[in-house]
Amino acid sequence: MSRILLLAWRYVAYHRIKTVILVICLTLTIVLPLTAHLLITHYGDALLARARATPLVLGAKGNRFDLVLKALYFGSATVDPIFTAEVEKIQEEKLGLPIPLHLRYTAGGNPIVGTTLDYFEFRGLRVGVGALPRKLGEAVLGAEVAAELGRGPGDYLFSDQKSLYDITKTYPLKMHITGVLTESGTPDDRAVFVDLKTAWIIGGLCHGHQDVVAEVDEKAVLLRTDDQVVTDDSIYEYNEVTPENIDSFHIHAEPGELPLSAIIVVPSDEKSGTILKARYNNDPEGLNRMLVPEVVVTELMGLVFKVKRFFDASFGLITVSTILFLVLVVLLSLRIRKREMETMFKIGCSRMTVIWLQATELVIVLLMSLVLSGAISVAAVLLAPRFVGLV
Amino acid sequence: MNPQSSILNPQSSILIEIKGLDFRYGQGTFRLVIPELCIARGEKVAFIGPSGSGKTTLIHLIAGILTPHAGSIRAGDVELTQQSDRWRRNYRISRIGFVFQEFELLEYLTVRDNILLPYYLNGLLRLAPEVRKTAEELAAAMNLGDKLKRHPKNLSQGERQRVAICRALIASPEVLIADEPTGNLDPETARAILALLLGEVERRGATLLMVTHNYALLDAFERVIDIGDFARGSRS
Repeated sequence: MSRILLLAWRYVAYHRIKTVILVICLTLTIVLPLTAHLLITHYGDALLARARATPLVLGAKGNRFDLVLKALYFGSATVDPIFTAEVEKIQEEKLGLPIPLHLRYTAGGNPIVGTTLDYFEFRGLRVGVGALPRKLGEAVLGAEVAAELGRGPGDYLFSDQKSLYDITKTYPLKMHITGVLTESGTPDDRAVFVDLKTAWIIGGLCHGHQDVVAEVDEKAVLLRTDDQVVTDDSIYEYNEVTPENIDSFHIHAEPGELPLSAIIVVPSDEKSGTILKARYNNDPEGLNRMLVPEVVVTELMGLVFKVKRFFDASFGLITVSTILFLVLVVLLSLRIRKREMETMFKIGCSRMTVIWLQATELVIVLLMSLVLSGAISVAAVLLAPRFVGLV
Repeated sequence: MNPQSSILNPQSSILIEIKGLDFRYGQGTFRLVIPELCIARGEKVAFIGPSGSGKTTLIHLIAGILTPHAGSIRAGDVELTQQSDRWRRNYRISRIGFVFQEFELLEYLTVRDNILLPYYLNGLLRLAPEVRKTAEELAAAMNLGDKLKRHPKNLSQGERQRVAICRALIASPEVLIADEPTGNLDPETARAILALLLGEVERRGATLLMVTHNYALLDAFERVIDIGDFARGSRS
């Protein structure tokens, strides 16, 4: 058998171009369905695992898929805001633990997650180096973000400018990095975590500036009353929170009207969960709704699998055509190599050995295609988070 | 019965003995009828005859590639026509060396692997290190010592035929069958190749059966057989 293998390998190696073309054709036929299958299976499981670990998500009515993908995987879709009053309401009624999420901004292309310390405990996130943010303007990095940016505690990170040419927008905030989380293999690895107020500073709802009473030039004051001072735009706003200016930061909104992207709710018990779902979902006039992420993600995966079935059928046709192409190549090759095989037979080789030789050549090409397909598929599965950014 | 060791009786001077042979291709009109033909051990025989007269058919019958409809072909003490396909394959690989007009080298193998091809194709031959050494010695004797790693496309016609001769000789056959081995060579190279063949056959005490159209080469043979005398009808 080793002699046949050697001869077959010599043939395949000598006819490099033919071999490469065959391997590419077969690899493409194998790699597309294989990668699709692996991606859907692997990420389907990962998506569902995170969804199952998140009991409820409260958010504004709209696209339920966008809301869940935003709250769980920090997707890029824009969702309507929900307000902090809902957090207070759930806390007051003791129906569960509300974990607010503010998910509008990015830093270095990575999502900035404005939340509370409850989030880290809820997700089981641990700080690998440094500490969690304790003050305004501080951030803790997910493991992948830290590795990608090459930054850690003591370094700083700017939030991304939302609109480079819109001077009415706030400036990027210079955030101080206090720690790096340990790797969790979840979207948390690719996020920057800040306190909610820090997220509102980035959005301009919370800001710090010169003391308009003591520090501002009188020429900049447009109106001064007993309880109000209005200035023009020349007033200096801080884009970094320091010990010197931290006291000047304040919020321009009522406490219950601050915007959030979603609220993860961990109900106190099953009954509380049912009450919460009923309250939000049975109110046709209500602006918000309570979603069960597992249900939404399962529904989403169902849609994905429907699409996959269509692609599977297409891949099936491609496979058939490739097999026919391969058969044609083999038949033509047999015709071209008829004299070679006849010579082998005359010398003293059995017809069966000649068939084995041909089959071994085909198997080598197939194996090369399978190995290449496997490598590409695994690489695609490993690299997908970087490009898809979901799980 | 092991074709490698026991078919050819070294005491007998008769190597191939054909009696009452009758061969036809399917339903065609061609017919090769040989009442009697004996070839002695060590004899150098040339088969001549017009195209389609059955020269190649006869050497294929002697090699056990074809089997006749009637008659007997004995190789030493063994009746070839009564042996299995497998036996005849093993007989060919171990006792017969083939040289073809078109060389029939495998383009994807180097000179060294082409010479060793019989050892790759049939498990009866054991590819021991000394066989590889023999291949190198054979190549050196044929002035191919520095071309062992080359592929056939990088060789001249004469060199290719010398590689084919090395392949035919590697298993030390008792019979060398050459089917128009000089047909594709210029006269000078043809003479050189024939001299090589005859020299090797002489040195090994082997038997040479050669089909040729080149009458200029016939002086070198001990016996010339015109197959046209045995053929009837036409293969076409």
